[in-house]
Amino acid sequence: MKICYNCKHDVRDSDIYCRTCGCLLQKNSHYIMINVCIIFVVLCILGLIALFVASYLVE
Amino acid sequence: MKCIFCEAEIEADDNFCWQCGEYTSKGYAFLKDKSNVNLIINGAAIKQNDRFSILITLLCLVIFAFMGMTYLRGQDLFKPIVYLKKQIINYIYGYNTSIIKTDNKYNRINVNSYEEAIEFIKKDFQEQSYMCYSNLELSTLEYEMQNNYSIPSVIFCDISLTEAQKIKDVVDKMYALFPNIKGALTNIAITNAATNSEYIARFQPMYQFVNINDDIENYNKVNKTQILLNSYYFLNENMLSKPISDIVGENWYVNDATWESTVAHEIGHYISFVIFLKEHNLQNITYVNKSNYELINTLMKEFDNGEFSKNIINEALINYNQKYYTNLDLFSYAATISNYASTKDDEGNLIADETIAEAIHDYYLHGYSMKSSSYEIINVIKRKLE
Repeated sequence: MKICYNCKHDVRDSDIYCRTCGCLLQKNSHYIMINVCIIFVVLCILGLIALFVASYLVE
Repeated sequence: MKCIFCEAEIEADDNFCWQCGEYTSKGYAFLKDKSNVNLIINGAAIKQNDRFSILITLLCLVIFAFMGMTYLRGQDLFKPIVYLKKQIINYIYGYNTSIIKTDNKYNRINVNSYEEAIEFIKKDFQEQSYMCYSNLELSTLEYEMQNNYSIPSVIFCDISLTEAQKIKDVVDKMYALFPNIKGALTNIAITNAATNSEYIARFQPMYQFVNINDDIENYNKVNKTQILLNSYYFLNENMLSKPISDIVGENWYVNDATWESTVAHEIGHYISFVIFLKEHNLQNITYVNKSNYELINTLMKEFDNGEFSKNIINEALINYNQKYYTNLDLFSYAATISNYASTKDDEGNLIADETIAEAIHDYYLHGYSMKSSSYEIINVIKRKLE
């Protein structure tokens, strides 16, 4: 048994879609990858802001 | 119970088919029931793959932010990265190094005139100039030198303003002493030598720059004729604060030589080169096409073998021996100028190029109070430059 990422209901291992909310069930690695990507993109935004500010400070 | 779309076995209380994702009759009824609105909004029976949408939104935000910042700051946006890179490289090497690359090479570039060749040389450094610290006064010095002496590209980059001014003074004086030498020099630039103490400054008569390996039938070529300043010395105040004799030894250069006066020595090499080109009716070797390719190759081999410079020294030596009733040989004559002027190659032959450069160095430092041996060389050079 595993848990639907969307509605948190239990689903069977063989299910492709969640029986309760119809969400396509992905492997755990898919969600981990998306979370890592989000963290990376957020860091990029922070880095860009820092770069922009620093570009005024460095001669 | 079976799904009406894919006929997979489903449970009676399933809202969606586990195999095809379509609504079951119960799911459809669940969605149609208005009393379930809150449940649906909270995620039941509806697909809410939020994280993926967040990722896409953030990616778009990054792209637009980057475009906006680049539009506002241009290449200056990357200055902090360059600053960090400089600090890291300087830390690794243990002394200040230059971020400017003077050894770029380009292939398969269409260059169809001398003007285009000059523009290409300028562009190579203009594209790197954002990596240098901003200093309006330094940029003005560079611009004045480019403008006054027809040198397409002068890049001091991170050299201190005081040091750059001293170098400019040397160049100003040299062009005043030898006004007919404009037109062949393409670059004066700070660089990193292969080894830190390889040279203080260096004259490079021909640096093959564009379309080196391409067939001359298809692509014209561009050469740079440049004076390079070693960052190990010119970017490090701890080196410049020492007398040059502490580094090269006593009497290596002519008396009173300084770090900056070595540029006069290099311009001395350049002057020999200008005379050589003049004697072969060439103004420069910057733009190479089918019609002058063979000629330039042949001439450069001739210039490299040192015979041309040796002839100048021989002429000066004859004059010197006649005037002062001496009978010096070539080596003893060169040795009267400085140790550097009398250096020999691996085969024990005098490197006459260095003798000429040192004589010019002597002339720069002492004017007509230079050594008599230097005076005779300067006489020959001035006559050939007329």
